[in-house]
Amino acid sequence: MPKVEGRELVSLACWTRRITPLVSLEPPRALVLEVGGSLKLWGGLDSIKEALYKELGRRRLTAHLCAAPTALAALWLARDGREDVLSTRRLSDWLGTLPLCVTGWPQVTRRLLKKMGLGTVGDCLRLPRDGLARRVGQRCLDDLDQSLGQRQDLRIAFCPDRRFSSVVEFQEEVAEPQVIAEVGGRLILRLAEALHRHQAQVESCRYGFHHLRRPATVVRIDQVVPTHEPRKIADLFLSRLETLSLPAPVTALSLRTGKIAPMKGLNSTLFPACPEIPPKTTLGELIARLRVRFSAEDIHGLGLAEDHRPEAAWSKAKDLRAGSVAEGRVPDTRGGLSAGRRPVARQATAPGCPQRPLWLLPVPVSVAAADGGRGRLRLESGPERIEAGWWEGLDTSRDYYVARSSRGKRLWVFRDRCSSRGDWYLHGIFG
Amino acid sequence: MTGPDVSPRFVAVARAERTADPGGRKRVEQPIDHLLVWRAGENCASRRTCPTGFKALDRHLPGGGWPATGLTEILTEHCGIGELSLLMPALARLGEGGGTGCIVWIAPPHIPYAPALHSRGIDLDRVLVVRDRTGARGNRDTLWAMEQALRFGSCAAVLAWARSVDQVPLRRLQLAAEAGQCWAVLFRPPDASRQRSPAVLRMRLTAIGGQTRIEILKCRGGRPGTVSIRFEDRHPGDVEHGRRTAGPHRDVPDR
Repeated sequence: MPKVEGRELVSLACWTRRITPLVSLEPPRALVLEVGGSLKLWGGLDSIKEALYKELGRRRLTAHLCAAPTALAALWLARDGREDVLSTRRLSDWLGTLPLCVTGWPQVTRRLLKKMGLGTVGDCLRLPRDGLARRVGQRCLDDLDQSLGQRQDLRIAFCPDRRFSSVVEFQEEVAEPQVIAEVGGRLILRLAEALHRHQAQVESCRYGFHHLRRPATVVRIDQVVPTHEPRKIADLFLSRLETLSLPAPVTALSLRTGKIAPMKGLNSTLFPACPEIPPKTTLGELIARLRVRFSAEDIHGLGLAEDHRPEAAWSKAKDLRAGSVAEGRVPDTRGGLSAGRRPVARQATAPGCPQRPLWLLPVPVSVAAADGGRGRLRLESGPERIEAGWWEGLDTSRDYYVARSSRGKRLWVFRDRCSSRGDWYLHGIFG
Repeated sequence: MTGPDVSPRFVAVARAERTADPGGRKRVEQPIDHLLVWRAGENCASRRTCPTGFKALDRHLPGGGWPATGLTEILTEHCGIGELSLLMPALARLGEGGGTGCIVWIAPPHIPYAPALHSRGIDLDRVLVVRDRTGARGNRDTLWAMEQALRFGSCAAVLAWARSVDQVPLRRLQLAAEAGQCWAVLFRPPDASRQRSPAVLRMRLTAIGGQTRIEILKCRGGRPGTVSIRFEDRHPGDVEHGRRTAGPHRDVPDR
């Protein structure tokens, strides 16, 4: 039931945005409208109230409207079903007669106040301020101040959810991918129109393939870079459709968007003489496209980490790929402007530092098993001792050597000093 | 009317004749031009190339370097014989000087090790790795990803590792590389040399002693040949070719 009530409240809030853009929700069952700026447009408070009552009647809702100089006062008066109070001077008199239940304070606070013999808002207003704040909390005191207009009441304006949702139902069961693709294209065009209207971009889309007598197949496609272009959205949809195997023919196709963000344009360069034009496509789009067939963790960038242990000296720059490449890539491309952005020199690049192999094995392999057990290794250089990781409980103490196998491969092997036998392991390959 | 202060308005551009006997060459050339015959080595002059960083190899390749657009096939038995070191100077050069392209690694056999790449002068911000862990559908996803990256248009190089590739996908990759103006490098096992290929350049790598033998099997606009390179402990590109002048942002020390 509260869910239904909440939905009704949101729906009404959407409607009231035609009166004023500054609507705030007071769940479970109240709305506060700042109408001060709309009075002239609507021709006075009475016509606003008339329009609201008419809409409430149409929705079969009963409600009480009350106007007051401050938002909290209006809310409290309306909760008690009082008349409008339009003068600030008599506001405290009117508020004083209200019972404490209108304030929406927690039950514990109200019970405490009742035990102290305080039944109305006026009783609270008469108390010494610091004592009241100490007993029931600063928030209640702030509420009282806000209701009287002695303290700013900053409210978060209600912003309607602008998710797009649309369905196309087929007249019969459809299994042909071409038909589904065409209908999907139509849905995406509808979405693009909606996005254009709102000047918005979409981050992800959820396609539902509805079947007869079985649960729908839901496919979520992430647009790594938010976009408003139907071509890009359709592109990903079509390439996902290619690999999708549907369990049954489709009776309806639905499209629901994820979060809709305000449209962000690309800034052009300040200096027109810049030789290179930023590319129209960003790496994020390629990532979005590859994600159709690869999972998100299979696509990553590379980064350096400050660690001496070889396996910990690199990182998958995953977040960087999705966000900063998408946006950061464009300014990067303009020649020398990217000069200062380079990472600082790391340990691996310091002069005189031992070389590192281009391939690293995810887990060191025992040398006996690594090369099929055939042939012997010839050590070419080394050792380089790496001892680290004791602070993480992963104590490593290894002597690294560069070795060459009988088949001409250059390998990076180490001798584990932690084990008593001094086992040899293969950790990298010089590609 | 001719004034004495007329500045020159024409510049003549002529191809220098390199043969010892220009007259003889001309005699042969004329009927060939007339017959619209395509000569090997003719259309590769305009092809974009990227120096390999190894002088010996540059001399063998038409245009003096890797073909910057098109498919390059490298056939190796196993990794670890210098197949990556061979590419490093060129890959570093691609990202240099405000180049826009990124380098995509598709289905690499091991982890490309970031500190080593960084020390070879590769901008890690431009590297994207796509792992193909499933392998259930053979190479299909690898090749699909490679084609997507090639057609994408803002990649400088796409490296991919595949086992067996048919004729048709190879052709698609070559066309995609040309469409996207991108350098595609496909690593394949050496038995693929028996298969025909539309690639611009095919080479087979074998390790002999401490050296890597590079057999150029096919080279559009050039001739097959063999080059041997020794990959030293230090960066071979630096030793042999000499690094280009380091900009203020380059933190790779000259060695």
